[in-house]
Amino acid sequence: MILKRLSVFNVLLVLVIFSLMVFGCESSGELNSNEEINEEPDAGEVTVTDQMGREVTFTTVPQRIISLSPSNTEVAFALDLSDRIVGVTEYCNYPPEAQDREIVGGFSTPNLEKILELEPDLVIASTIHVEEVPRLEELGIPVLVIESVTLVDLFTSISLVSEVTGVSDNGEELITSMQERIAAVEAVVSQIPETDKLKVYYEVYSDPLMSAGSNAFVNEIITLSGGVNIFGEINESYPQISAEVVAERLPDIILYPDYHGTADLMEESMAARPGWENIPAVVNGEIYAISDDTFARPGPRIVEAIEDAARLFYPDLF
Amino acid sequence: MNSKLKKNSSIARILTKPVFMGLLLLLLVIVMAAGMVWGAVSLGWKNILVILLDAFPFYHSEAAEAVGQVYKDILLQIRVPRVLMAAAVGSSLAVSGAVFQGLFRNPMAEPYVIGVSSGSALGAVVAMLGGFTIAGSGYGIVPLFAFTGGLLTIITVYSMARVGRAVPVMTLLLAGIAISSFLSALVSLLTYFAGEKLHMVVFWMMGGLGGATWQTVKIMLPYVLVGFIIVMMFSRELNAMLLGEETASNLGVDTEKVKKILLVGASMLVAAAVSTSGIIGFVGLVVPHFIRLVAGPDHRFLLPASAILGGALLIATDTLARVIIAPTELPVGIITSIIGAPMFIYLLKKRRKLRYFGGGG
Amino acid sequence: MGLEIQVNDLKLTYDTEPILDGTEFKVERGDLVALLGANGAGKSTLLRCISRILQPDAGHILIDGQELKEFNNRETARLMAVVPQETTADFDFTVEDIVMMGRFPYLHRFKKESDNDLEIVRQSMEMTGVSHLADRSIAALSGGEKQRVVMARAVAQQPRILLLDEPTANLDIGYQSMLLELAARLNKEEQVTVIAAIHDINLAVHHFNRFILLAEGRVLAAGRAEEVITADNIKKSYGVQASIFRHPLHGVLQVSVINNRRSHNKSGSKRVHVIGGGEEALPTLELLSQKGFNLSVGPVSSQDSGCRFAHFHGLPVIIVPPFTTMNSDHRSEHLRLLRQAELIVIPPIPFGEGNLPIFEEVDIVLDEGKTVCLIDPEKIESRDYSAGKAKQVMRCLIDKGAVALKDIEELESYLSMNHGGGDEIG
Repeated sequence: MILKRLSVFNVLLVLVIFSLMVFGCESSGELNSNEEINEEPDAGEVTVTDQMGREVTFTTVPQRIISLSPSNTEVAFALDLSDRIVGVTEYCNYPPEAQDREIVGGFSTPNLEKILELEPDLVIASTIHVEEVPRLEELGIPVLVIESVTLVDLFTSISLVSEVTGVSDNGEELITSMQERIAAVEAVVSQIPETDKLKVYYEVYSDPLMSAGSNAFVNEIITLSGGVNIFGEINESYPQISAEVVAERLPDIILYPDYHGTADLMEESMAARPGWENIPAVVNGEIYAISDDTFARPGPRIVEAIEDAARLFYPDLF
Repeated sequence: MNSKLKKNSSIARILTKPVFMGLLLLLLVIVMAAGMVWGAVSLGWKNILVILLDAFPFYHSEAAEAVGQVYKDILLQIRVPRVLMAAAVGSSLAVSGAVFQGLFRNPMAEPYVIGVSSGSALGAVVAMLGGFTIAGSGYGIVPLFAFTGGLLTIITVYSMARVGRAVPVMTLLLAGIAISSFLSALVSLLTYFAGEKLHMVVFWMMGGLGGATWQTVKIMLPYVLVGFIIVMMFSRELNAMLLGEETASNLGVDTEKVKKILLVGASMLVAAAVSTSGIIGFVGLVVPHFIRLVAGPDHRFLLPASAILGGALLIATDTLARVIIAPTELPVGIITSIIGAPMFIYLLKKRRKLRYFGGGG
Repeated sequence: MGLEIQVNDLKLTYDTEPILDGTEFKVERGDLVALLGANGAGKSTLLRCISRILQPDAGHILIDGQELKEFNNRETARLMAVVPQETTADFDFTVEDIVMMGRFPYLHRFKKESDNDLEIVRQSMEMTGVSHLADRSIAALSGGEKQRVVMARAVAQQPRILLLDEPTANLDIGYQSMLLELAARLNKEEQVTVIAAIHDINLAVHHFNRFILLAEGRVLAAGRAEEVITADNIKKSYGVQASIFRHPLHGVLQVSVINNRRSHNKSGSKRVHVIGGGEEALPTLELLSQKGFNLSVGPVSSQDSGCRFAHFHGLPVIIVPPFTTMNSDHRSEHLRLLRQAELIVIPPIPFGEGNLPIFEEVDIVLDEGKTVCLIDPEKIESRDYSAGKAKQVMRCLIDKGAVALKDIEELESYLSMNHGGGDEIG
């Protein structure tokens, strides 16, 4: 009996060790050409430092691009890279052409096999993809990590991407146009005295109650459109807050992302919350659903978001 | 030695042990093949065969040249390590589950019962939130912290339960539960403050084999092998201990030494599994029960058979997880629970029938 | 060849309670020893010290002169096997698996069981009569079968000392006997030293030849049955009054606890005289005693159970030497007792020439107005050894007014209707 057990075990052991030897040989031969960081950039080579602090070098202009987050997709398309984009995520719904591209996974769960199959020469990721980035590098795929918390970050992202993909002109153009439009709004709202600025409460989630802090992009939008985020002083992206504090801070306007078309319900339920009856926003019915896509994604459409928000806050001025 | 026919009151024991083992091995091979063939990207089994053959250092296939490097990479760099990892994790969980069930003489025991999983989870979460992952070889830090967390936990639990030279099994169990709860609470607390890393933490905890690379496989394998060898060496002692510690002692087993060794071995297995793949439930609970139902409680057969079935089960569920809503993946822990729970209920029913059938006196 | 066990001044305290308090004794090689004692006297604890499960706080245990402490687990398992009181079997091992575990102390880690091992297991199962159960799951066996399997495992260990810790506590009398016989057989055939903790003294005396009586953690007595099992020792160790006697059939010493010792001298209770005799009179005597009557018995011979009953309860009794008829002294004494009683009962005892004259006295008191009850006079033929005379006499008595009752139950109802009993006890 033990003889049988031993032999089975042995066979298993031998199989495992053997296959390790065999397959192990393969991987050690792999060298990641992108990890060689050249001291002197040759002509035609681009070296950048991405927003995760990594130095990435591109010897050729990427022709097959995969984006791993909806915001990066929008940026890529806005830079007119449409025909070079081969893969996007499930949630990349703007522009509409993006939905024609191959889907490589969800927001934080990109499928490595699919990515590999598409043979990309550039993958635009964000800091969420911490685990995937080294794996992609290991497999010989160049990765650029983009992360935007503020407007300035966003412009950096855009220029990074445009530089790497050889469309710096487009990049500059895009940035300029965005800056102009934002400046236009700023010009108006900067006239408003601080004390008159509308207090805005942005409800990310109702249960538990979550709002946007200074690290969320939506905070930028609120600020740039002349509002004051009542939780703007919290140094997080999406802090859980208490209902009392909201009531205490008496926001003038309440915004919330319209996930499932539950607009009416939201208004009613908010009005019904204990202690909220006296909030100016509730009293005046200034509760608005906004598109999550435009507001929460750090992409070119934030300009629209800012303009929309400004119009919402100060209808007389716009 | 002729194979003994295991005739028990249970009808299910028509199989002889060698036949059963053979079937299990066959299952493993089939499942491994399936795991390599199926995935988000369809490779075609002919291509797979060609690539695999070519990978052997002494064989070079011209057909292999025709297959794109991409497919080779997908198979050899992503799928094969993943399948191997699934086998390693699945078998580790199943074997450690069997050992704990024997050690605690409790069929409800499973690999996470003494807190190793909570400790590993805590280690992993600390690594993820501490920002250690950004610098250097990012993906290596989480498993390392997780493994350390797991081992520290078992050391703590053991010390807490020890009375002189002896470790009463009951106390060990209770200490494990207590520490496990405490650490889970800490993990929840940290998760709460995870902020944007929430996704990462939650998905890690749900269990997944997405992080399987040759690197991780190579790191994990020694622990798994050593763990196996340790526990399988003491199979006879474990058998005796099922009869009660006093009886085992009267039969000549040094129960305290054996307990310690088995704890170390099994914990190593669990820590290795959890640190690389998060918390995957049910495999460790259900697989040993199933084997026991069919082939009896003799650990000399139970442990290797559990290893094989556990590996096969996890490969199968992982393949399912990869394929069912491709290209997105479901966390494999969800699938094992969904499949595991009804399976367990079925086993419970069967077990009671067994009792009734064989009972009396 | 069995081993000698010497226990010196063993002390063990559990939670400030001293369980063993200076236990000391010696068991010779090949002894077949029963360890007796009340619950809590320390029997189990002592055995577990010997089997090394427990470590004594003080004292020594020497096996053939060597300190037990010096052996390791494996060596000890080769020397001693233990049969515990109960085996929980939650797991589905087959009987053969279980018995094979007895070979554990002899097996090497990486080698499988040898043919020798298999042979020993087979023999052990045969010896204990469980060969036919070899492939059955232990969980499916009855208590008695399980204990036999455990015994087989112990035999497979090839021990030189066999320790049994109340192994028969949960078995029926059949299995009890069988198990202890197995132990005795092992002792006889292989000279294995056997120590068994038994709580049933009467069972122990049947199977063992040496006894050690523990009380309060110390050896109260050790030696042969007669030396150890005395009323005094029983009182000291179990705290009860017991009667020690030899079993009428096999002469083995037996213990019977005396409880509810009834007083048979109560004022206010009626006096009943029972014509004594052998065992046939006992149910009647018991019934009347239970009902609370004061009794007198006679005439009986000194061998009769009736006589013993009378002695036991201290009743007035007429004793006639065996195989003789009553002389005039007996008869006048008998008459006196008859007159003292309010009721006379004649149980269904046999009658012969020897005790026929009893009826003459009964006749006298019947005329004097005493109530006489005859139990089962119809069946007198079956116990009539006086060629029909007894039958005639009985019929005469009935004609004169003696009450004929069919059996004990009728006696009982008769009593409750007419005599209301004494202080009924129980």
